[in-house]
Amino acid sequence: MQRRKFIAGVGSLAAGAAAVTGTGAFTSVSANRDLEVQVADDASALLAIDDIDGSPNSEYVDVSDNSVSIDISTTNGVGLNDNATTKILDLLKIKNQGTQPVYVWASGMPSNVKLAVQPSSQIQNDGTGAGENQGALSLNSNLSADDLDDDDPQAGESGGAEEAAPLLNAGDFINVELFSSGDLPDNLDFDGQITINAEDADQVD
Amino acid sequence: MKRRQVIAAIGALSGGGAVVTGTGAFTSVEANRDVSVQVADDSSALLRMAAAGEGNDGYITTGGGELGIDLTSDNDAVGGEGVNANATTVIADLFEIQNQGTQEIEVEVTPLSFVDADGSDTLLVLVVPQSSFPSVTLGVGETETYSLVVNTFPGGNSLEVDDTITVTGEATN
Repeated sequence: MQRRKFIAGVGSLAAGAAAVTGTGAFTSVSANRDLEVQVADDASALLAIDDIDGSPNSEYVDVSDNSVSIDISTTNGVGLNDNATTKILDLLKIKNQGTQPVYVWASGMPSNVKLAVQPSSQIQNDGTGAGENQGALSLNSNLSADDLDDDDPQAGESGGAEEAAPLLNAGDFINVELFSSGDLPDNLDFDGQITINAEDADQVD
Repeated sequence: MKRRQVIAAIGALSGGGAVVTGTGAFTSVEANRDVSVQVADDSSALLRMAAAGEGNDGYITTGGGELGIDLTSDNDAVGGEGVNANATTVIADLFEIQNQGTQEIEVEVTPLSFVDADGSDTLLVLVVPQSSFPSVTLGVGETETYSLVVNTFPGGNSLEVDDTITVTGEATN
């Protein structure tokens, strides 16, 4: 079909449609758009979880798999002392490689084995007041699952009295230590998974 | 049928009518009318598709004016190079679709789920509409927001979804 005829054809069609509907409506649009998602190693993922370069305690951390694992057991040559305080500094580095501020915390730790935020971290809410993080990272330390940002001093018995989870802007990181104190469960033999949570600051209660 | 023949046929018909009605018949008319069509960026098109502006815009690409979703190492706007293995990642309020036409439409995004698997490693990507599943009716000017849920179990960094979503807006009447 030649161009001139095509234009004439479209012209009459447009005129006809206008007469019927009286509007310049669109009837349908269909568009294809790209969607790409990749799985990264923990060390380079949106929530980067890695060992700490040069830390002697990196030997407790296995980063060879896609997801980081921690092994403090006799299969790795050691175990925790009972009825003692053990600290393992510079165990993990967790970094926010997303786009917005998130609160980070850990859940599922065995009883009396806790994770904490070291002072060498870069976070937005370090301090000693309500809504600030004093070092707690796992829910079995001084964090309340119901009040992770500790923003309401009137809320319940723990409101304002506990600390907030660390708040990480994009690019911020925490250096994480593990510590145990007091009586460990008899024959503690924890071989499971813990959960590292990161949640948009606006969504955290 | 060739053009000359079409015109002749129409001419004959009109001529016949003229005899009956007594008006001055014409043999043929060829009229050009203006048609103006412009291609707009997705962000300003009739079916508007854009980042939702809720903090997760970095995962949205707009190359060539077309909306895209990129959670890979290719996306320089994000520090991370992909979702964590063995994790659930929620990208809330990622993009929005708005009816900028003149009548009510039914909007559908298909597919809403994507899977990649390698052995026991599974990557699952869900596109989640905020107000209505699987499709939503949008009045003039109304907007639907979409989130992304990505689940990896147990993981595997060879997994990848590199696919296309189709956004369809169709008038309801």
